[in-house]
Amino acid sequence: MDKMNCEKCSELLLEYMDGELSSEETALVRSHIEACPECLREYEDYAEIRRTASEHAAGPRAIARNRIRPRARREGERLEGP
Amino acid sequence: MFGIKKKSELSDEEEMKRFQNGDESGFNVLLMRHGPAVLRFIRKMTGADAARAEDLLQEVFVKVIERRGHYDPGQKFTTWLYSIARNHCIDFLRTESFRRHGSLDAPVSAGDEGGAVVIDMIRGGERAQDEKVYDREVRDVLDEGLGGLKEEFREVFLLREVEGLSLDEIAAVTGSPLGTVKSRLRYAYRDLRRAFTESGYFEERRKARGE
Repeated sequence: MDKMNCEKCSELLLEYMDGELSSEETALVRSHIEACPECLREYEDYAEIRRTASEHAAGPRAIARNRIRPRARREGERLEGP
Repeated sequence: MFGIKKKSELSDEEEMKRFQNGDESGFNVLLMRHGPAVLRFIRKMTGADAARAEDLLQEVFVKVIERRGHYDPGQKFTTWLYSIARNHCIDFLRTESFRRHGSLDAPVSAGDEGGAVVIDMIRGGERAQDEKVYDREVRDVLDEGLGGLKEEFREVFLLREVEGLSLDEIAAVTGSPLGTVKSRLRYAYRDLRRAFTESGYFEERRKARGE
């Protein structure tokens, strides 16, 4: 593998966050991030984006139950026919 | 007990098989399990308001009913479900430009008995949530950022980061090679980072952390 640079680091960042890189690549990305303020910032920003997205995942739960199931059942009956 | 699963513990694929065999409760379980997440995906994917997104969700699950005979129980149910949802969103986006919402106050169409009541409940529930102003702002920033993404980047980001699908599953859902999925996710992050930066969000966060 070529020596790590910012472009390569950026390319591998998400897989690094997911722990999907080989141990060699992980070590290269980690040491690059520790030495490069721009890439460290990119890493922190991506982690923040991921955090906001996962917090966002909490959504309204009852809606589907209350409205969709009766409709779907009616639709199912219609499709089945008499 | 005795290694027998309770009905509620059946896998998605087993529930779908029950439904294919005419047991409606299999469908109900799947709807309860996945309805909220698919609704969220639809809302974020299309930018549709709550009422329209519910209609789209209904249409998706009606397709599940209509196409149940085509489902192969060997296939992961969520891959099949999100394929239907994703294609339905794309059809919707083709006929209506993104973020051209109808008004939230638009009357609920005739025949949706109880619909207006449900919408009121949703609105009330959203307002009633003990939600800090800060959290709302974060959500706005994310929504804005998502709205600005290219459609193919947005869908990959939502399936991965909000719905928690694996990259392989996303490749199956979107019919794209794994490498394409990975690069689209990277582009989504790159563009979201730009949007978050322009909104001043990161700066605020760094200040808050005392950096």
